[in-house]
Amino acid sequence: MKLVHRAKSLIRALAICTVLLTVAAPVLAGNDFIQGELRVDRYEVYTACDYQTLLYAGEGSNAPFPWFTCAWLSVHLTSESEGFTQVGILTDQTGVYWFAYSYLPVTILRGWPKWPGHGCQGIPNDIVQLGR
Amino acid sequence: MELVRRYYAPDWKWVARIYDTYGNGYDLAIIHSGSNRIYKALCVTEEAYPDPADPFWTAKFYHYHPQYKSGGTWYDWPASSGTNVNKITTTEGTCPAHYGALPYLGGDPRYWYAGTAGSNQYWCQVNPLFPASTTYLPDIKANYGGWNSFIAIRNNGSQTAAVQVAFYDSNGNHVADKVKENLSARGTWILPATDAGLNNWRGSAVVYASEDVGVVVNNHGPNNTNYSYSAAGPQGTTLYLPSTHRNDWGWYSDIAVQNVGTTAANVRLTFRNAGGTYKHQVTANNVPPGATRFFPTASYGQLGSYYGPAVLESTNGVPLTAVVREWNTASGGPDLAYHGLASAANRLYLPSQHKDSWGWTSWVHMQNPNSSSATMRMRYYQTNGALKYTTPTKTIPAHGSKYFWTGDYASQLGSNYFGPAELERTSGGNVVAICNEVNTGKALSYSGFPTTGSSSLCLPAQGYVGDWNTWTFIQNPNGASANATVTYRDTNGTWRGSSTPTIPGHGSACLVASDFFSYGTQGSAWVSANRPVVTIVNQVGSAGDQTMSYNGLLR
Repeated sequence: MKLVHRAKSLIRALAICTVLLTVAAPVLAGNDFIQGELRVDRYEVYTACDYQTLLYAGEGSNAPFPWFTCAWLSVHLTSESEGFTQVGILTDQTGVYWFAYSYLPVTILRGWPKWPGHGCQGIPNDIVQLGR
Repeated sequence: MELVRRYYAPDWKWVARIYDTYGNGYDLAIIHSGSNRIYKALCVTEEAYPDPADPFWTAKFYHYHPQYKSGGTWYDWPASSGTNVNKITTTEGTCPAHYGALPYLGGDPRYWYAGTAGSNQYWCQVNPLFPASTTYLPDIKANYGGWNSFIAIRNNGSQTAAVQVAFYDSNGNHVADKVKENLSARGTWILPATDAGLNNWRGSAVVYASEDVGVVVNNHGPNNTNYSYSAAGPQGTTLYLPSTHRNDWGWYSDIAVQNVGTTAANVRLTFRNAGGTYKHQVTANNVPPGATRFFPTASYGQLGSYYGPAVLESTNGVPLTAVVREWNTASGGPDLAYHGLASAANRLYLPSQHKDSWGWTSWVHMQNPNSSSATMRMRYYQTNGALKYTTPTKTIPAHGSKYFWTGDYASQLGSNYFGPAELERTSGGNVVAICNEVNTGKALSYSGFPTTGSSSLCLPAQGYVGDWNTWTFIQNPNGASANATVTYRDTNGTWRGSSTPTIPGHGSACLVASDFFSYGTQGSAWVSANRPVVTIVNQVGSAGDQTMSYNGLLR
């Protein structure tokens, strides 16, 4: 998720500082994306205020906690990236989960606050299941 | 998954919501934003991993039909546009070995897989994601027996188009693709199939574009043999092929049948003789979506020496399109091609007929798809709209075929006749027809128009280059004159010239590309008229069978 990406950017920045200070081993960041960008130039699209997609995981992931693979629908609620908001499903070795996240302040209604103040995640197989 | 703006007291909020498989919705989180619009939307598959090495965790996700709600109704996310292109892209270096996208699942452009890859069927870039136009090309060759396909794609839109040409083998495998991100408005992209890295290959292709496009395929063979077809041929579960041959004065037919549906097609091809009697039948089951199966009459010894009509059917309801190539065994012998036809009519329009005009004569092959006979006659007109001759009627047997040959009317048409014609039913059911025009060592073919046409037509392949020039024939099927404007543009979409012919009722006009293009120029033309018209384009060179024709694309 972009949260991770952002966190990694911070980690990378800290790592670079560390490298500069200690000449330690290089640190590489890495999230991989298969990104589908949807058209939003039409008035009826960008003012719709209700967006949905169907998503499912064909099978689980071998990613060990806390790492994962995931898929999501996201919208930007501001013209800049701080409006980034997403909802999707996430898989790792322990199961399949739903999650919701935003760069904006968030009030959690369900699940646990994996990203306090910004997002939440369900327990395994809550609402979502593999292949469905 | 849903992101929706709704009222959460004391004001409106954005809510992340999820639905279970029974359709029950669950609100997950409130996003505190007063925004009443969105600025960007994404559907993404992601791998999150620790530094430093990329472990390429397995990811297998399916994305299906993103939608937005307007006026209380859900709508599929709109097709791509030239300036706001929907596309799938992957992180550099991960595709296709590790991750990729597999679009158009089940032939549905809004259903795609994104995740762990490892096969050449996975795309690193899909552009556009939701095409505004999809065009099927049944017969594509790349260095195949000396044959090469050149695909002319015209952007009919008013803005830049993203275009993707996907090539499929006979098993439906997506074996290659070529992308042009920025095809200028009204510009033309001429793509040789060999540019996709294909060699000694024949198969099919599908053109996905973010704007409406018109496509013509020119197939150039050895010894100056050529044929072309407009790649927007009729589609249907039953297609009619008025003229097929085997060992008939050296003529044979290769029938390319493409599945344009979303599931595998079962195809049945039935040959009959001209009298309508059953001759032979062949089948091909499980033709994958997008794939072509070739039916060469040379392989069907049961036909013997044969000429007659054929019927192509999908026995499981999956739509097809087809191109029939007719070829002769003579060295450098002529080739021609026409579409399988879906729509029969009681009147068909033929923009170009010849009787010894520049050495050309015309054969109009009619097919009667009905179980009772049909009676037809031909009305040959002069270009000024005056009726030249109406033939006696001919009766086409049930399921059979018949032809009108201008050579049979030498005394009535004269020795140098050229003009448009109308094929008219006098009794029985509707028919389909094609026109083959032949000269010494040369031949070309086009399909009779079953309607009076359109006031807008796209002509994607025009040129005055090498030995080639293109001749455009516009027929006015109406009784009153039509005012037309024909605009020529080069491959960049730049205007190169226009003509404004007034076409008499039942008459025709002829324009030649060299009057508008400087030598060496290729491009397209667009016909606008105040009444519906029909158009063919003959592409003519100076050597051998450098002659081929395509039907103008109605818009």
